[in-house]
Amino acid sequence: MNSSQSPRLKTYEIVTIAILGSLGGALSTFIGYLGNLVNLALGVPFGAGQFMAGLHVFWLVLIRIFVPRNGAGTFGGFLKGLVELFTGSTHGLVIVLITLFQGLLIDLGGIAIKETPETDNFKRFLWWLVAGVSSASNVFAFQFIYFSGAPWFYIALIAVLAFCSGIIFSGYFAWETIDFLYDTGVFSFHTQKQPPPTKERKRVIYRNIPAIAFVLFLTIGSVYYVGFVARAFVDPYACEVVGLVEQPYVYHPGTFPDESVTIEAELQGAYTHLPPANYSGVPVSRILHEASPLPEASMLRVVARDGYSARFSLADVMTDSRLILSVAEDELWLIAADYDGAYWVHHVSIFEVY
Amino acid sequence: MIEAKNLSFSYPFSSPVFEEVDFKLAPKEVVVITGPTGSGKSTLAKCITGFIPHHVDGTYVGSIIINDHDMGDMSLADISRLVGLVQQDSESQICTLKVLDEIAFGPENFLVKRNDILSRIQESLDAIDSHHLIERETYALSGGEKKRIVIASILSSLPQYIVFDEPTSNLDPQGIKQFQDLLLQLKENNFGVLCIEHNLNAVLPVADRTLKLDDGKLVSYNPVYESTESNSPRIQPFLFQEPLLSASQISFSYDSKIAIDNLSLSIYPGEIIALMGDNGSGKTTLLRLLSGLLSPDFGQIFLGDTHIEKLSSKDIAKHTGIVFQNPVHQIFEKSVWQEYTLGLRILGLDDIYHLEQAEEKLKKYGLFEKKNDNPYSLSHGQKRRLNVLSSMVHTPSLLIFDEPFIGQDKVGRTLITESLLNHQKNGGASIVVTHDSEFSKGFGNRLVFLDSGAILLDGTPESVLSHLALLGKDEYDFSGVNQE
Amino acid sequence: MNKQFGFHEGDSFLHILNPLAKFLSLIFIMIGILIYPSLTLTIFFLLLTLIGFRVAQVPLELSHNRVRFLLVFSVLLLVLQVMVISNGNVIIYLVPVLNGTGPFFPITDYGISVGLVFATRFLLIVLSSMLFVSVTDPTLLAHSLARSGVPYRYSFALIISLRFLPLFDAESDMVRMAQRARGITYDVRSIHGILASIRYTFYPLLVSALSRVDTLSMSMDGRGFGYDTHRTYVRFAKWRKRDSFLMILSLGFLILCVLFSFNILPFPLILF
Repeated sequence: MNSSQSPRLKTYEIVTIAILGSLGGALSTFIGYLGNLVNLALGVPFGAGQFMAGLHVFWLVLIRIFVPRNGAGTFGGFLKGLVELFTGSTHGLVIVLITLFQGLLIDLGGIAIKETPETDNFKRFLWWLVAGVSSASNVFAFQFIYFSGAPWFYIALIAVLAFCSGIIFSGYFAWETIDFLYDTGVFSFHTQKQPPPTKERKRVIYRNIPAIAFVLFLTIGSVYYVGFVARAFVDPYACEVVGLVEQPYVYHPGTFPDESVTIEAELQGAYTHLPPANYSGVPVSRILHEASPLPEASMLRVVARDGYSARFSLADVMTDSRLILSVAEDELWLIAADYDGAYWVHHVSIFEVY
Repeated sequence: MIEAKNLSFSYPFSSPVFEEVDFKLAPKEVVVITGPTGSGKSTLAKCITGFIPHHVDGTYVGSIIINDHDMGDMSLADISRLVGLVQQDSESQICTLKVLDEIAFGPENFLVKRNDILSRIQESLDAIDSHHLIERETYALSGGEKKRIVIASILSSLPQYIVFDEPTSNLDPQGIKQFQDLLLQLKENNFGVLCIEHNLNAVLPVADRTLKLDDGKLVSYNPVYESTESNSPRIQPFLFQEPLLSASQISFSYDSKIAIDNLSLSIYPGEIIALMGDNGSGKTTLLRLLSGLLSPDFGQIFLGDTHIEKLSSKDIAKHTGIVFQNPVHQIFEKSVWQEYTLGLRILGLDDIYHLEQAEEKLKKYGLFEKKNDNPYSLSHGQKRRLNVLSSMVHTPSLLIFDEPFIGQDKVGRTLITESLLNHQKNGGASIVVTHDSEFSKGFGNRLVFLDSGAILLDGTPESVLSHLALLGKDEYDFSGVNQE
Repeated sequence: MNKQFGFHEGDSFLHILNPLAKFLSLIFIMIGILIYPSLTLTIFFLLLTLIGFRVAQVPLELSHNRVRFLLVFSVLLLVLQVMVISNGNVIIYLVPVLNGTGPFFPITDYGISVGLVFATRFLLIVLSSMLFVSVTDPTLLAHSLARSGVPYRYSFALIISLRFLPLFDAESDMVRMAQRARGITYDVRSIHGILASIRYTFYPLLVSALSRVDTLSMSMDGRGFGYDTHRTYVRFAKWRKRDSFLMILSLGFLILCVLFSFNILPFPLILF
């Protein structure tokens, strides 16, 4: 298809975008249905939704390839989102924002890659990657809107699932479909660059072998990364000390191995209480001392991974030996012996001095 | 006056579609151009309406003069205000959600003032006698209503000439009659009308002149009425045997609209049943019920002696072969051969014996050379033939065909008819929806005429057609055939 | 288009507001609620939405599957959030101390409030979107976009998409019937099977849809589409004072939310 000349979209280009957006919207129920079948087959209650994520981006990739203009992906995404909004999507207006963003990513990919990918295997990998990233992007958006406090690790795992889905459905399958559609002759007279008559039928798979191998490598690599390496970065036992301090740093339980103390404390909540027990940990004053709070600082905010926070007077904290950060199962737990239960913060991730 | 002089055109990398064509169309005139499938009639229509060369690439020689202006010097928008094109597929020409918006579309784009548009809408709807449709949603219109709205949406831009591409292809005999009246009305209102038509009988009664495009040349043509009546003796159905399928007192409605109303029907081995009736009389719904794709609200259907709802879709597929109206909706595979033998693979019949038989059949149908082609890339007629073949590949006992002859040339018609006759000889039965009484008379041994979801008449084709004539529906005994 | 959730014609106050004003307000309020998650405000808007359904005389039947699904899903969000969050004042432990281990699964006031925020926010987003759709003529929305400066050829794409939607719905039913007639069943036990099921559905529909592109674009070009950068309209929505008022209100709300969330109140408190 000719992409150069005037910046104005031709009518058939607008119609192509509109029709693919519409068909994509109409088929989103089918995709959901197929996802449910996969769930049933796997015996899990949910999850296949993200396994199908790539089938939504599929339409945006088709739009961007058939209408190779910058902005076509974003336009198509916006349109597909509106169509889903008007058919009563379960996500309402949010779906418009999400598909718009996915289309934008496809466009950015298109701008970076520049040419249509028919010619070159390397460009094809790049396209598949872009499609994967675009598919995975919805995970973060949904997480932000519908959920908080989910461990980083799980979000990353779901994102990798969506990314793989993108590679398979909006990458591999989309290109198979594009080749197939060129073959049908459905683009009768607008297509200048009909792919040359092909040698043999096997070509789709043959041409894709390098891309498949590459993507397989990448997928396995990213699963490994998330599973083993990245875990270290989202260490549940790490606590950042930030704010009005001279030397911000990341605290780990092993940072001061000899400074651990054991205290007896009793959690007195508003509705419940835990009987007295022994807790071991490093005093918060020691942890903060290492960062050297600035003289103008007066407060400490202890922030948990789920967004919860509790505030303390910095002066009190620095003299309190019964305020310790203990190591519990899969978390750092603030033991605030002389405070009431609401101050015993679980999943501590940040000490903010201000 | 539109005048084409020395017109030649070829698509990129292909031989000329037609050469040195001369053609004239005056106001108050109805001209018909006919010709075999693929002769370039639609291409000619696109030239005369300016889409070639404005919209379509190719090599264009010659000139078209419209009201003393050379089309080559005019923009497509200017041309389209003088001559409008009504394309074959009405569904794809509607771009808005409401009838009112659709008719207003042209004048709105041409910056006509609101009040003027409103009066143009009235006039356009008056011209096609469809004022009652103005508030309707476009998607809910029937096929015939859509065609009318497409015509009205072109009339509202006030052209002087209108070109119709295959206007009667999806119309029932009653619709064809109404279309003839419409052409006369347009002529009366001073429009110059060009009809590109394959089914000559449908427009011949109102044509002032008929031309034929064949082998790249446009020549004047005096059609003779041809009949395809078969000479082979018709086979009598085997009524003494158990029915292959029987429906008793079935009813079905969509939401609140009753489509099939307390209908009973049995199909016996050896029958070729022509199922006729107006558009919307429930023919397609009946086929879907008989093939177990829809479940009746009331009543029962038995395939052999088993209740059809107790059978899985694979079991039903084993005994029935179904061809739907739109050829594209029933092609699933990536090559002609894969598509053709899909049924064998699904039913576990893909052994050497069946595959060899299938190959023979494919050769006979002239699709063997295309066996590795993309099935969607076939011509409409070839796709239709492939549909018919694929539905029969596993030799089911009952064939259920919905309008198999649309878009078929003589060769295709003969091939499909032969298949039906062969199937009959082997003790199978078929039920075929068609508007073509020549087929019913020539090959059917039973004609069922539906009216508002119920059987109005059921008997031999001759007796049913003569009863229809008595009921004032004589248009059913005239259409079809003489197709190029 | 789905009858229950499509546009319901009417002449209520909500119907006659300018579509663009409604659309932008919906976006502003939603962004506001997302960046400043307050339970009180969310419930306030949720009530407003329910009143809106009344005013617009659009039925919102609890018995309907979709509505029931929304409620179940929002309760699920609440439960999930409560289970995950262990901070705040513990109200009760689901698993008490047993033989020296535990307690586990605390239910906290913070967990409940966060859960409520997310559940109500979900309901608000979906129900207000549904209300918007049922009181807004999409054609007029597209025309309003065009009259506000978007080139009309582009905003028209929305109309084309929605016009073809019911057709594509019908076509996908058709294709599914044709699949059943051939004995095709969906196989989702392997990636190969899943791809085949998708192909069998997507390919016929894609070919059918794309084969309409030429006819439609010719038909539109043949009726002056793009003849000028402007066009006239038979049906359009006027922009009235009340639309400007609505814009000021919703934009003001958004600005307040931005101010709140960046400065004034600490996080747990803004939930109330």
